[in-house]
Amino acid sequence: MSETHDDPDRAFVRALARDIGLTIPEPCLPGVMVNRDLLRQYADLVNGFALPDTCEPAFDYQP
Amino acid sequence: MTEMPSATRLATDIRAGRLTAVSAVTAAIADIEARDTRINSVTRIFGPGAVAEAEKIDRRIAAGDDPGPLAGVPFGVKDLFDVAGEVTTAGSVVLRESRPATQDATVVARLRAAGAIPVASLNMDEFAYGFATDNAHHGITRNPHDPARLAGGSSGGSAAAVAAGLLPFTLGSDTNGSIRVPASLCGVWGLKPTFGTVPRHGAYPFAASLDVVGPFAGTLEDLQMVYETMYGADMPDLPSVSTLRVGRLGGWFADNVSEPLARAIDAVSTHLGGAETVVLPEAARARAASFLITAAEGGNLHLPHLRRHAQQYDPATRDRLMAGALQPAATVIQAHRFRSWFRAQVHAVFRNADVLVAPATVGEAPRIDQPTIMVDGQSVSARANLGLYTQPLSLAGVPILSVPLAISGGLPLGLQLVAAPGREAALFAVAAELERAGLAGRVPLPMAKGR
Repeated sequence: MSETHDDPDRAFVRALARDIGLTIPEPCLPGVMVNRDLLRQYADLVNGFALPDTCEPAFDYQP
Repeated sequence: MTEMPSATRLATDIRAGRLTAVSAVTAAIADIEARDTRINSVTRIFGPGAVAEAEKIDRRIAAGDDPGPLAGVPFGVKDLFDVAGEVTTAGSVVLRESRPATQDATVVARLRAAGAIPVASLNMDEFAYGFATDNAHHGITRNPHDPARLAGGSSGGSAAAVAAGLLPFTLGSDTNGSIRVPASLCGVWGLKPTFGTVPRHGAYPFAASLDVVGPFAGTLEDLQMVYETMYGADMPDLPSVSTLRVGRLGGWFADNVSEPLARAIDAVSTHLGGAETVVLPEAARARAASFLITAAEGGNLHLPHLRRHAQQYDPATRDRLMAGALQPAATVIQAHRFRSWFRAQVHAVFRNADVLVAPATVGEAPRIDQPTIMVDGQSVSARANLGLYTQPLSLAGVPILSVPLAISGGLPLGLQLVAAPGREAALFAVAAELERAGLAGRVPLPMAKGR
């Protein structure tokens, strides 16, 4: 399928994958998109929480 | 077939010369070969190496040497721990052609130094990504209490092997609940130690910000001994339970709990002095943050493999990893910032409590032919949602002991006992009290046909 006629969401996911050097095989695309939608719901939850500017990322986490 | 004795009892008998390590190891292997076909918990048996190791232990004992507190005790490892001479596959054909490990994972080496003998690798969700132990390459691990049901995951082989009495203890890993979920569904003890305190060297990673390794055991005494060996030191003396302030997690952790599990939590709370309800704020967002960090780090870790041979992966794992790798940096960084905020909330809660009680799952093991659970009135995928109560606590990195509730009839149900970082001793003290009171303990198997 040519990307010009592709579903815009599929084209976007393919473009995102290209940015990280990943080619998503066509049969994998529906599953990747379902999982991406799920992650976006979780992302909305986390991004919807206001944090103080001084709250730093916990990259080197100490419990 | 008589069931495997506890590690403590086996080691005592072997050190005293009443039993040889070779007979313990060969009996365990024979038992696996005879009975594991029913549950599929084991992926490989380290037969010749394990027997050779047992012969060494017996020679040391004959020479008057003490091989250690776990002398001759057979154990199994989730197939992501390095065992010298074996290929670590992390439950995937993707790593099948890797070179064999040249040395043991640190925790395996520590257990071996204490006399224990690795005899088998155990089934898992591919690359530890799942709560079902439904592996496209090795098949599904079935719950020993009802083979028509899930064992849970991702360390399902580790939990099922102990539940079935094939091995006295096993090793697993827990990123989002992969020790606590299967321990709970299979009715055995499990421990997720404080994040960062037990070495992960030689354990194939999943999400480095969250990964923890820990033990499963059939008895609390064994769980403690194995944990201390993995940790590399004994815990301080267990505190008296009467000095501990025990709370019960409410809010997120009280919603969706099955009726039998809610009743069991009531009974435990009453026994522990009527544990006051404590609410941990923003648990839903904590679960979301844990999900996002896991997906991003797992996706990043696997990107080189996914670029080259995506089709070798279990499709369900592959699609999740690819989606994880595509997440925007802003979201992942926000999840890590949220983690910092959440840490402060967790520490605030532990200023007024020493141990918190929470459910491990919403209820009993789901059926394999209907792998769903009910959440907020909706039927949702068990593979993705069995960690409802474990994932928010994973984000905090606190120690959690998975307690099998003593159930008369029915399928196993489990609790999480949660403490402040480094307070594993408080968890063992409360767990021992629940065991003493008859409220907790490994759930015996029904008199299964064909055993």
